[in-house]
Amino acid sequence: MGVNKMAENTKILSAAQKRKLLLSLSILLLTAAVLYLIFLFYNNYLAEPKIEVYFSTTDAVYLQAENREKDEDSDLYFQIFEELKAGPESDKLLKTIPEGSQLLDYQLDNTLLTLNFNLALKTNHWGGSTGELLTVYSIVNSYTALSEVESVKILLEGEEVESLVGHLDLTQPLMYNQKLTEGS
Amino acid sequence: MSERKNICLIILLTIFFSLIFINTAAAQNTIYFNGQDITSQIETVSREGELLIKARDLAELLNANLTWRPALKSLEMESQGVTIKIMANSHYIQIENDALRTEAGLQLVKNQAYIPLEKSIEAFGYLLEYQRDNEELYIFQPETTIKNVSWQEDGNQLMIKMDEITPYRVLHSDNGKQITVEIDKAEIDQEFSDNISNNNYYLKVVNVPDRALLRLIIKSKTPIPFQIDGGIYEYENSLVLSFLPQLKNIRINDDNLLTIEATGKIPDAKTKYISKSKKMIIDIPSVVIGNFDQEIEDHPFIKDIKVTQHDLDPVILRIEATMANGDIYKLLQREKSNLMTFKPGQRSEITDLEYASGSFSFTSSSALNPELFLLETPPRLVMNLYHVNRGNGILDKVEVNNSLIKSLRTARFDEQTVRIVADLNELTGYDWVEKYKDGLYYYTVNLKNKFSKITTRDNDDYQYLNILMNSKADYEVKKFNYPHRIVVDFKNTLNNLDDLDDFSSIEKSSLIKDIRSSNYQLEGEKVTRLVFELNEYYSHYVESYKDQRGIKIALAKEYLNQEMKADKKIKSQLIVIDAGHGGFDPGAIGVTGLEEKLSNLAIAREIKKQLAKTNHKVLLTRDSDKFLSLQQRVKFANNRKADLFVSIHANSFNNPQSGGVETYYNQHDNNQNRFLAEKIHDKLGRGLKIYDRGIKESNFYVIKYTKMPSVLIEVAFLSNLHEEKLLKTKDFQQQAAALIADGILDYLEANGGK
Repeated sequence: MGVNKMAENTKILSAAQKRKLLLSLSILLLTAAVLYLIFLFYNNYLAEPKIEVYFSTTDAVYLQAENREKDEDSDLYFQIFEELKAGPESDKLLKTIPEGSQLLDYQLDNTLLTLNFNLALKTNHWGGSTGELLTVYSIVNSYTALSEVESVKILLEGEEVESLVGHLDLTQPLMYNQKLTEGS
Repeated sequence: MSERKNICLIILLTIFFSLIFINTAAAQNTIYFNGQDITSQIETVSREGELLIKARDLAELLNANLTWRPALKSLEMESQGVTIKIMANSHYIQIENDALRTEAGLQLVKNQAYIPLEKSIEAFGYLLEYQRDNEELYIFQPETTIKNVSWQEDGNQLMIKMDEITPYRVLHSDNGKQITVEIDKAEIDQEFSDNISNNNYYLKVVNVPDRALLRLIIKSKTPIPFQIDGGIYEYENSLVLSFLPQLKNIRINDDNLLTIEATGKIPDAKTKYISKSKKMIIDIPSVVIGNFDQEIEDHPFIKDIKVTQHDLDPVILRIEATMANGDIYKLLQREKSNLMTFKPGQRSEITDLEYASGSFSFTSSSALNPELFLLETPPRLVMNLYHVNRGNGILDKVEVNNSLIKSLRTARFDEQTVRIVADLNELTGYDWVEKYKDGLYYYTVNLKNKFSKITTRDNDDYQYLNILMNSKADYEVKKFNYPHRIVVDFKNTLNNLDDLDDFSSIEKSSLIKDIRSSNYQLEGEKVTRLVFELNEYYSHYVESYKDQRGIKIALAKEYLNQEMKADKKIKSQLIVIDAGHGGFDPGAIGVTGLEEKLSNLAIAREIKKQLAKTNHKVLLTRDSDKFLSLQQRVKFANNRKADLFVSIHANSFNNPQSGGVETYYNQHDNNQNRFLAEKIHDKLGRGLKIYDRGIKESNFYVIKYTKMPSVLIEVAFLSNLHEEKLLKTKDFQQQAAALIADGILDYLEANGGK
């Protein structure tokens, strides 16, 4: 008798245990599914895309982009210029920004980005059409690679200039230059 | 009398003392402390060639505690944890446990202690810079501390860790064996020991006392290749110098594999075999020789190995192995980037023997060093290939029967050699080229075309030049002006014109003044050039013979109708030449200082001079060294309704290797800008004998807003040492100007008078 009761008891208990087990299992599965969904969603919509920074090829013919992680702690627009200034990682590329250049401030008006640099960008520049073209468009291409920027206007210490070092027309906003990136 | 003597003595003494006084006063330098002129706040004297400062003034300046022990005539000064001691009648300044020798030591002037400025301030960790030219002494705190200098990545990178990067420069010795890195306003960490030389480089840190900089000197037994990809770059707060990888060892292991190891990546090497001397030559780019181990002695396969730094620009390491029995070694699939392994006894295979008109080609799995020669009866070209096997599909004989080759035969000549024989219709010149792609070597042997006949004929309207060739002609006809001439370049063609009877007997006609030929280098290819000098030119057309073995050039004898005549007489055009930059804007500045504005103006003036010979009018936007805004230049041309605008510039980039000529135009609806650019660049691209960077489209200000056809020419690079040198010379300026002027006239002739 006693043994029988015992057996019954264990049976009832094990049924409850089974339910518990099932419940916890389904909860586990559900959380996994939710986590997976969040992961997918995050990857597709929330993860910050990397930024593209353009540098000159060593033969001074083309611009080529390198990717950089977005730095959450600093302002994206300032970060891009810092990356331009820091120069490329690849030894097949060369930096295009002269020493001492600084981005003073910027303004985004619809899709027109106005960048205000200090005079070092001009005074420390090595000159030449090729030199100017690669410097200006490495800046323009890096910023217009952002989805919110379509064109870039360059100012020096708040003033509009005809040109950086005497060739390229800077009185008009500049758009992404496809031709300079073709060969890369 | 004695009174007079006394007065004289007094006067003399006064002069004497005032001289001494002036002398000490003259030693006065201007002294700056952290950028401030403190000359008037401190008292200094000069003793034994040393500048001494009043100890109290120095203590005040440095906010130091000063203790003076009159009994010992000893002085102690303490600032920021550093204590210095100095005693009268001693030459030494005691800094903690060290002593620094000075010339003057402590001096008492008017009962005040004066101590050597330079040495004592250095003891407190300040830096000094003495500018001898204007006698200015700068004292400042170091802006950066060099904490550590260490080798990274297997000794190919030297990392200089510092607080922050201050201005620095890299200097090379003339023999290339020493590099000096100068770092401004830097001090060295107390803990630092410069025991960092390694197997290949000797390293030393030197303090340059009165110039406030540190020198890091790197020496090597062999020249240190230091180029773009072996340069210096900044990484966080470190300077990193990268060196090219070095050869570490060469050995043959038990399996008879020949292994070459370097301290870093070995790029793809080129291997060559010289059968006569049984040598294998391996040329490895971007690796330097260094100190390496060589463990090969009297090996059954390899007698001897010689390693040399074959070239430094570009860097090539050459390994020359003398084989015992003429076997070849084959490069095995690379497993590690710093290792190259060769396996013996492998023969390369030739495959894909093909022919075309006037050439045949094949591929090989390794580089060959073929031997070619002609045999006369019957006429044939023989090519000996060593250490090769005939691959699949290489037939003993192929019937070709084209204009030059009858058939191709291949055979094993002896144990070492495979021979290819081309049976020819007649003997002719030949050359061969090698191309390397995707692990295979492509060889092409070109048999040269020859001239068979040149004749002239004429009718009422045309003078004909008939040039007949042995096989299909590869040619280009160009028309040049001033003087008028027609130039025909034949590629891959033997210049046998002197052997042709009819060439020298061609009758000069009223149109043709002279005919000459030359061998000419065009874009790296040898061409045979025929030049017809013309007395008069109206128009011409070119026709090819049906079988393409020759060309016919027809020269018109007169303007064919009045309309054409009117067209050809181009009326006077107004051409504006714009010398870029000027005045306070020097433009780009050359490696050795040539200012762009100067060469621009010289070339612009020269173009004007060249065009003065024509009926066109030329104006310069500036004919002196003055500044004009871009808008002023545009207005200059627009207001005068100029017909053409040509802007002259010199280029620059932050890579001293970049060089060449380029022409810019701005895309307009009518393509006149591009046409003008093409005509001018056609001349510059091949005429200047520097790298041709081509024609480019861009939105440059002066070519964007001018309303007439316009171009901007970047003649050469000032940032390139060789081209800067060219730009300085009158010859090059004149040559550039002549080519530009010629291009302008070509454009006007083709599109003229619009």
